[in-house]
Amino acid sequence: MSKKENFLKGFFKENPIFVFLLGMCPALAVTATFETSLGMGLLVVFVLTGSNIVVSLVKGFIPDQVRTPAYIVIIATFVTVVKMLTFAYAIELYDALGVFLPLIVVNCLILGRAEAFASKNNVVDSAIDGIGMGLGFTFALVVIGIFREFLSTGGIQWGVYLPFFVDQPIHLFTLDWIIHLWNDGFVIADYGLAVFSLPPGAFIALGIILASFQFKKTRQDKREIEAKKLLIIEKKRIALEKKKATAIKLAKAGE
Amino acid sequence: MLNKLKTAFVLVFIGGLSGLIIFSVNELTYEQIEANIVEQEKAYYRDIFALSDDFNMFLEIIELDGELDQEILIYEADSNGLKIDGVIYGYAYKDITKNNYGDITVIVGIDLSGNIAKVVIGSNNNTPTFVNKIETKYLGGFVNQDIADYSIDSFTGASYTYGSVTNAVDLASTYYLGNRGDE
Repeated sequence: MSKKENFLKGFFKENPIFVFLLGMCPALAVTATFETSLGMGLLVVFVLTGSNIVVSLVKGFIPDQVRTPAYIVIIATFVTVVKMLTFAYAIELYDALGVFLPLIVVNCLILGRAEAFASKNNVVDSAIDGIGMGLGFTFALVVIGIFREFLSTGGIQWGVYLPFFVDQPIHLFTLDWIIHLWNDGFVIADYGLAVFSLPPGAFIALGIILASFQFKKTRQDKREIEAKKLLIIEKKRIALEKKKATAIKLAKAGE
Repeated sequence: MLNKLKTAFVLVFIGGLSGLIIFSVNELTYEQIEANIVEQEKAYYRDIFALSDDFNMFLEIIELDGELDQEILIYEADSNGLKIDGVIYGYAYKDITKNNYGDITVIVGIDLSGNIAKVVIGSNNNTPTFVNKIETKYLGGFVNQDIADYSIDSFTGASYTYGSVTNAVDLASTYYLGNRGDE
């Protein structure tokens, strides 16, 4: 596998949430808004990359029988570091993620990559795998977050939990301005599908997104199968033509 | 035996290294974390009692036993950060509770004339747009109402966030009238 393939596999082909259904706890719990999804995703990128690098570095020294506890200690160290840094420099995000921040320790994606990849590969490949898989995880969380926040509030906000680049929270996108063309006093948030900001909405949203993802994947698989069939038919046709040509040659030679 | 010792040594080494890293990061962030907590708290009270950013504040925090969590007395502080006795700016009541969206902290400020100075939603896990809606459309209705005789706006589709706010105001009112009403 090339380095590029190693990096890109986490986005679609081996996406932790949409394909392997790993790390479902944060995918359901902290994706009520775009910002919390992005925040959690970036923290996971840091923890996953860091733990992959360290696991890859020490893989030769850790005896098999204590492999898992050792990996958990390494992951927990990174999570604790992330927790302190978030508390110090992004307190709004820290408050928003609540208990799900320390729970990154038991995210099966992180332990899974340490066990399945980092413990068998070199440091560079493990780091690339960590960044790629982490960004793929972030991508999936952000898709779910945007979907849920938009349906529940009619807009996407920035600056509430990640107070970077703006002084006050702003709307990155809202339907209000379109509706205000006809009705001035209308506030889209009053008519949002509030269920999507609640836990049941997380399951519904994930179900819809997974179904779309699977639909696309199945269609792509079908196309690949069709293309293979066509290739086989074409090869058969060429082989038959060759056979015919040889038979004609032989017949001519016989005459 | 040697293998077991090696295993133990590896675990001790990893544990020790982890401890060292966490200790270093803690040393690096401890002051910032403490400052964040204090600043966040003070910002709420500046907002509630309309105090300027350079106002030197001293908070006397009293932990409560009932449903209401804390009573906070807001004093002016001298240049050393010590309380200036008698110069009180108001009372604040903090209710930290859980609703269906997660944790929510509601702070109810009461001025010296017994009116609601302001109601503020503190740290919470509720959907930000809903919190914004409650803050911009409904919390203003509490300002300057007598804590002994206030009315709460009811509206259709009331969210859990707003329910937490009205509950906190009720609790603060009950406590204030029972303990501070005659001051």
